[in-house]
Parts: sequence; structure tokens; C-alpha cells
Amino acid sequence: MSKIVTKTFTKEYSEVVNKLITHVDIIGNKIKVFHAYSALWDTGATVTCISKNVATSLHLVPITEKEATTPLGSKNCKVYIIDIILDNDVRIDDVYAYETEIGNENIDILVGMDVIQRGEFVISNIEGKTKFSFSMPAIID
Amino acid sequence: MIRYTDKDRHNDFDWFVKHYDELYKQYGVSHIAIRHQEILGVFDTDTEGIDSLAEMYPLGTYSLQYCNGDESGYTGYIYSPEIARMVLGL
Repeated sequence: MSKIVTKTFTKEYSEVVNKLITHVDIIGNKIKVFHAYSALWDTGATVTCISKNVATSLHLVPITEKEATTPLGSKNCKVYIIDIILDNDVRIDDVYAYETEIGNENIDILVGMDVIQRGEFVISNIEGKTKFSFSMPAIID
Repeated sequence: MIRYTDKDRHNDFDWFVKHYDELYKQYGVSHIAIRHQEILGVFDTDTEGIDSLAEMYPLGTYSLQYCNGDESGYTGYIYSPEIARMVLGL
């Protein structure tokens, strides 16, 4: 009988930080797991973005085109479907990822609210250290 | 091999946006598969669309658009100017 458990990914920094950057694995085209991509978590983005380099290296196939609208202008982007895996087997399936220029800043993936809203996102800054966690329910056979 | 270029995808995006209101009026909240300005199918979920079309149209040979009646169906928003600069490559 299946049961639902909550799995939690936790990242603790050695100081108070103003950017939440973690490492994630990405599954492209439902085939392989690729390790240790640099991910910036952003509650100010409604969507998730990936760099061109990630899209190319994973041989991702675009599922559609959409528009990214920002305070500095708009850009039409190829969009892919990926799965994201955090530590402790926290897995976020079927994420629409916009291909953008974030790779220029050494960021591979920008994790937006489309992902964050699927779980419990907690951040604390205590005793000079930032700690953030992300929990999601998972079904266990 | 079925050919579908970036230009084809872009043209289908423009067509989708141009006809967005009438598509929403006709199909409601839906996932619409488009290829060369023609509708291949209308689905309740994206997964249903991809699976239904897989035999004839592999992923990447059409554009699958989400229609929900407002522009958030085809637009992602980046609110921070710093992140916007990164996204746009400025």
C-alpha cells in the first residue's frame, strides 16, 4: 500500500546570504540524471529558467515558445520540460523551463515560483547563518 | 523525419497569441497543440497532449501552448531588475 511522506531538502550557509544558490540535478527528456547544476532560487520569478548551455548539453527538445516579461524588456524563449532533483530525493517533475541568458552569470537554473509553490519553502537567518529548506510530499510504495 | 524549425515554432507562437481570445472562447482552459498554424489537438493536460501525439508527432515537432484566458498562459514574469538583466543577457 502506498503512503505519502514529506521529503525535505535543507541548505545551511556559513553566513547570512542575499542569494539562495544550491546545487540540483536535472533530468532532461525523462532519461538521464545530470549532476550539480548551480540553481538560484527566486520568489520574484513566476517561471523557471535554464541557461542555453544546459539546454544544449542535455539535448533538450523544445516543447513550445513563450514570452519572458521583465522590467527591462521582453524576450521570446524556447521552453523545455525538465525534472529537478534536490538532495534527499526531493523531486519536482514536469517543470517548464525557459531558455535564457542566465548562463552568462554562471547560473544554470533559476528556480521560480512555479516550483516553489509546489512545496513548503522556509528561510531563517539565525546566529549569523542563513538556512533554507524546501519540503514536498512524495508517494512511497 | 518531421521537420519543425525554431522559425516554425515562433510563427506558431505568434499565431497562438493573435488568436488567443477566440481559442479561449472556443476551447476554454486547455492545452493546444499547434503546427504550422493548424491545431493538431486540444487537451486537458500537457501530458495527455504529448502522449496522444507521440506516435505521429514526436516532441519538438509542434508547439504545445497553454490557454487560460489571460496572458499568463503564455508569459513568464521576472520582477527583479537584477534577474531581468541576467535573463535578457544585458
